[in-house]
Amino acid sequence: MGKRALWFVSLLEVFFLTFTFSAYAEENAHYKLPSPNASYVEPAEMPQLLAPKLLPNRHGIKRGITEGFMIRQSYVEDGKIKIPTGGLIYFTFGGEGFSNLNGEPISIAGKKAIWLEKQEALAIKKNFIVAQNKPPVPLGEEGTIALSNTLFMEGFLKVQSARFQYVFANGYGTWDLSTVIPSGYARSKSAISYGYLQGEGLITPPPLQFFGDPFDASATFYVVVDGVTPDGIKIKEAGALDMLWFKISYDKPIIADDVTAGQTMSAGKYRIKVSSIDSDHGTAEITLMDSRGNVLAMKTLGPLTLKTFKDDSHLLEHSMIIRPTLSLDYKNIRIQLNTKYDAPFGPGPLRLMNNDGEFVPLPQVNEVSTFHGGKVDLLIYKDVKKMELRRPWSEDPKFKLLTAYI
Amino acid sequence: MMTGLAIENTETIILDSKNSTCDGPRGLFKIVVDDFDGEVIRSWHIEDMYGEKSRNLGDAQCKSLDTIVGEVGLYFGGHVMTNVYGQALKNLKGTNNPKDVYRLIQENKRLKAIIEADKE
Repeated sequence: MGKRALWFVSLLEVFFLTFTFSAYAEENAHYKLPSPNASYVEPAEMPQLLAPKLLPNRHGIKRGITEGFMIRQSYVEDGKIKIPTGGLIYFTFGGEGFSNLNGEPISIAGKKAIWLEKQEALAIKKNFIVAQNKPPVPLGEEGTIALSNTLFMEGFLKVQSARFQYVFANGYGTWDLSTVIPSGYARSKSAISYGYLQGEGLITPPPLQFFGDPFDASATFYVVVDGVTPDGIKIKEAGALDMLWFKISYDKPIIADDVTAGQTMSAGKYRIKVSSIDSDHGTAEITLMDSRGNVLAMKTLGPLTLKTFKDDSHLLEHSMIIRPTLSLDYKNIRIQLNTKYDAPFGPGPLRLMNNDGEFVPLPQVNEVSTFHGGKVDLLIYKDVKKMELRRPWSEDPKFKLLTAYI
Repeated sequence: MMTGLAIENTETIILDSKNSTCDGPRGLFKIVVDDFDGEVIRSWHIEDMYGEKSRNLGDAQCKSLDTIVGEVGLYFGGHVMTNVYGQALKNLKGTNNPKDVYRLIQENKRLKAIIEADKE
């Protein structure tokens, strides 16, 4: 064999190796379900792990917590049992869907925690083909929500049509859509007038009114279909919500009620001074200092007024612009206004707590009890944990976090 | 509103007769393979950090560790609402409501025990 031929063979080998390696690296269980022969473990069998638990939020309203897990796409090969990446998937549902500001309870791998904040993002992908019998196409990076072709019909009234749906990385497919609907919009017509969004990938903060309707700012999706070809559905643009990171605290906050202007509190190695309070405009100026009195951060929290609750009620919870104004975050310390409302699974608060500690329906409210008589109610979280999604988990790097449902 | 979190393994988990267990996230639960001859998983079970154990989930035909454990979703008014397990359960062979099957088996056991007690 000549030198050239040998070189060619080695080149082929390199190609082959990279190909097989990449094929191996891509093996994962995303967007797939457990096999039809899977076993089932009923909650009554392991009640401490699996039975729903009730935990209160900061205002004593109880939320259910459910935990469980699945193993999917596992197989026996060469005398070994293999569970691919994403094959072992644990789920936890708690109060995080209700609100971000009321200390809703969650459980992360069996450990009780308080939900504090999340960084939402809109996953957008443009000009791609969703083909049948092919893996679903993720809209953002691997592990975000994806589009999958479920049915392809050729020649129905001489129209090629198809059905498709969104699939979460955990295998749960939802929101069945059809290309037969003219223009293929999955959402209101106001979406059309707002045009298409700039950019691709995970965009944060998500454009608040991307559907021309503030209630659509969260928990939703849109699709613009270009056409149906024998290769699959040509999608002009599709988007759905996802999350980049979230913050929790394993410890309960220090509840600092009735803080007056000029008062200084200490929290661990930090000192917190409330410089000024404006009850009418719902603001409080906070200065964070170290133990020697050096200023580390300053912020005016608020405004949190009746207008915030009544006019912008849906924005309070859904806006990535309003929510961060209510807290001062520095490293792992968080000082937050003690928001006192109840959001019973809907966009925005429906009830507000009055000065007597009772919840009153929003239209009847005429005070914001966070501020009262020149005093402010604050919360201090001393050890906030930030957790990134789709990256090795800081508390167990063999695992990573994903959203389960939006 | 975003509800629910998932935690999944980042690398392929390999189990054999030597490495017969693997941990779930932060050791919440453990997968234990008791009897595996290289082809069939005759016996395997789940243990959790509270000390509970599941029944044997393997059998003479079992060739994967695929399983659906518990019931997850938004808990509202005593029921689990949005159920990400919905399709996984529908996909099961034989039944799409294994919870009812489990209840029937338990009820059957209970009745059998009563009959046995009467005989004595």
